[in-house]
Amino acid sequence: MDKLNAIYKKIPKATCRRCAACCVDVGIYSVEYENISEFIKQNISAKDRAEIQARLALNMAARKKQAEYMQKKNIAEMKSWEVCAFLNQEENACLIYSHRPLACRVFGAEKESRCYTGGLKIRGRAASKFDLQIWQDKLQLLSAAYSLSGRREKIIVWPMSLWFYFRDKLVRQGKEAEADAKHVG
Amino acid sequence: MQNMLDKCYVKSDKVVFRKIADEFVLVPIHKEAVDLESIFSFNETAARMWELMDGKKTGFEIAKTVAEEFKQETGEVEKDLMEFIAKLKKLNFVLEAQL
Repeated sequence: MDKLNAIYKKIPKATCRRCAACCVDVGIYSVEYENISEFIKQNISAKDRAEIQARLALNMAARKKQAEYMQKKNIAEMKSWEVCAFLNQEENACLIYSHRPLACRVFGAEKESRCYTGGLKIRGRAASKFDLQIWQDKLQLLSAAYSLSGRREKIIVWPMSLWFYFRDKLVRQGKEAEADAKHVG
Repeated sequence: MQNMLDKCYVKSDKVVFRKIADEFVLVPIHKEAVDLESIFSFNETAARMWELMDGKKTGFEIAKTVAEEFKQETGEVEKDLMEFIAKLKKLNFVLEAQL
């Protein structure tokens, strides 16, 4: 994971008001999933892990209800009803902050994901010159290289809840191949 | 049963919950991964009752507030609330507050 951390280190730093309004269920790369999984195993207490599991299940319920709502109202796109399962909402603190994924590190930096509280500032370069695609390409390449090592067959970006709820569940049941097959599409 | 509404109730820390649309969804915290079958959701009235269980308001006070807000008979709401509390206590989702 040294290569991943090296990429993370090069991303312009952001400062924010820690309002947690953007702490939704973001998409992450397979290499990021492995990185966070390892961090959780080694650093998160059993109590916090149990709470994360419960919040992941809440997100699954939110995902289902939102899909029903959008279908009923014929809405194609809207802000996610899912709250990041790694957010401690009492303190607005991220439980995996040091290992947070690219999407969290760059949120607000590019036009499409502009911080709507107006609290986030990118240090070191003008936000208008920030090119998210560069960083996405780097993680895509790294995930691909990681895949070639035989540990992951498919490379896709999946929402965190799905990685940590469904994939983890299948892996616990010894169905890793099935879990990976589900990542397609 | 009337005695039940004299008491105050506090939400258990063994459960996580969130308002999703007009429902409250509750998930018990287990050591193991949570099954989607063990998710509970409440309708709007029950969700409001749950919201009001702050360890300070008695059952009677909660029933009065809900009856006013939803324009229902207080007696009917009290009956529903007693059933709801009994269910929540059985699931260990609420505890009697120690005053």
